[in-house]
Amino acid sequence: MENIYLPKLAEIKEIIQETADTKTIRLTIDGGSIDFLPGQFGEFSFIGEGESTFGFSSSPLRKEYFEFSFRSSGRATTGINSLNQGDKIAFRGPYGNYFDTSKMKGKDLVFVGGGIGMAPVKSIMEYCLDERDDYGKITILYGARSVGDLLYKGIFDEWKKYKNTEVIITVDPGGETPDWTGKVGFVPTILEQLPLKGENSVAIVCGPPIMIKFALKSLEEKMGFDKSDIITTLENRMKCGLGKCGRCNVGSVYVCKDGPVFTAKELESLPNDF
Amino acid sequence: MEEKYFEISAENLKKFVDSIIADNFEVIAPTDKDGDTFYGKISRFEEANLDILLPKMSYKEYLLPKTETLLEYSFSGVDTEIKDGLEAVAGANEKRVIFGGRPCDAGAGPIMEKVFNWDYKDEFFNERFKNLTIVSIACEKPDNYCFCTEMQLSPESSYGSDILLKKAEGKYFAVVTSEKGLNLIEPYINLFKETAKAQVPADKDWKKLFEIERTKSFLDKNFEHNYFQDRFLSCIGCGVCTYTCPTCHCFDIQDEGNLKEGRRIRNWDSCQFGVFTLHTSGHNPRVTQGDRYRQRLMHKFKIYSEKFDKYLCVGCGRCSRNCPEDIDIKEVAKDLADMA
Repeated sequence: MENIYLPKLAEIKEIIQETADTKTIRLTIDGGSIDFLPGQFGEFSFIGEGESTFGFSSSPLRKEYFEFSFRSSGRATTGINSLNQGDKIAFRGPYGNYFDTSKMKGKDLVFVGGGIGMAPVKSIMEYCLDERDDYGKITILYGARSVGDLLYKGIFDEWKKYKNTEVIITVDPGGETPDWTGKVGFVPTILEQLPLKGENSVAIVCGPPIMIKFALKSLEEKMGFDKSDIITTLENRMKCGLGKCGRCNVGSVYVCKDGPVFTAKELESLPNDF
Repeated sequence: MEEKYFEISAENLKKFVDSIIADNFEVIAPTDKDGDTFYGKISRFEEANLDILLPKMSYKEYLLPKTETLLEYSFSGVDTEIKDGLEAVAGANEKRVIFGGRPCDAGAGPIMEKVFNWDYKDEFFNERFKNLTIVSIACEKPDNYCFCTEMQLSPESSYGSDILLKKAEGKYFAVVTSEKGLNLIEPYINLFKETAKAQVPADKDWKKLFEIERTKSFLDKNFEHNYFQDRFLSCIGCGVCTYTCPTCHCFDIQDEGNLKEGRRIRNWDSCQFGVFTLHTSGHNPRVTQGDRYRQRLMHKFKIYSEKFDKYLCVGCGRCSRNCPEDIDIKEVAKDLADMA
């Protein structure tokens, strides 16, 4: 008999303090990464404080570690926040569906992330960058409320090094600092200023619900993206991740099993329950 | 297994129950406690209350305990040790018999079994479900809250029971539907007299008040209907409907312990609570009690039936009987069917 709720212990290889209240933690099991696909998620815990659900934020092609990014907020994440390099995190997964790269190959890609919603975008984005020749032009648009709220600041320059890849970083109006050289404006506003066309392109959008709502509208109505070429993730509250505990459903769809990755076309058919 | 039929006198039924208790079976039956009736362990036949229509709670907790240990953990220095909670569940319910429960409660087991086995297999549930032996008694007089017939069962349904007893003229007929049921009576077979199906009284023609398929077709098209917000304005969100429900299985996972050791447990949870779906960001997909009761209806009469077969409801009516606001789910399901 197998206990589907039994986690494995993963070792913390590296902790990156992203912002005042967010961190990225790199983990290893048996000295390396685990098998997962971009878009999937896992249940992470400091044992004794309870589990939290996070999407992977690293490319599965980078085999030395797997990582997730989180904001310290409740009991479980405060527990994880207190851990140090070399400590253990209990992990189970990977769960859920994933970004289907076979439908992205040969096309122009636009990655749009808002706040900590950039985490799952980073996984699929770096996966595509790792196999850069398989894709057309890559546009990365990432925004946060303020300069201090931007995650992954240390690796923006790394993304820019890839050929035919444009990286645009923006902060909400009022969130800029005097020395800020990036854009100022909400993500959907900046998105509309970009010379993007829907044909032969795929857009991947993750972030707060309000950002997703307007970004989807811009992509569909202003840039002519087909609804099935816009891909996003839903992040409903979960406990089991296995389709049993009964809380992540949106209508008849279980985010943990049928998601978390959905196209805008699929979202259209769901009731307003997320 | 092909069904087998037996006759047993009231006197022999008492002997049978007392014998299995003497042979170390734990017999759980409706029994009086604190002025009410609950399923509980009996030490002799007389302690069973077979006259009551339905005990206050179902016997769900013998399949899905209110609190179950998924794992135990301990810390020594920097090392964490994890002990698999499944070890303690092996063989659970092997010597446990539910006696005198009703067909609605028996129907709940196979309905939950599907949830715990699509894709990932939940062996905590499976081990308990596989081993539990269920001897039910057919109902003679359902009350106004009952609607098992509408829910594709009936007061005389043997679905989910290993043995169904039907009372007739001072004696009982036993419909044995499984090997588990047959194994239970085998050592005491001299108390039973095998008979033919034709001898067993035929089921009555139980009438339906509404068609549940119509309830579903309303739900299919009316997620945004005003009915939900209006009708459940009075709901106080206590969650009693979900806790007394034999098929509600939603659970929470929590860690509890101290700095040295503890356990990860799963507890019954309820879709009627706001925190059930509350995001870390503060966003909540289900804000009002109308949103939450709608989820309960959707899960029972639409979502479950689309994923599996049947419905996530056996029509026992406990949620209605126990509701402090007298929300009657049968009336609600009928309202929806009428509007379809």
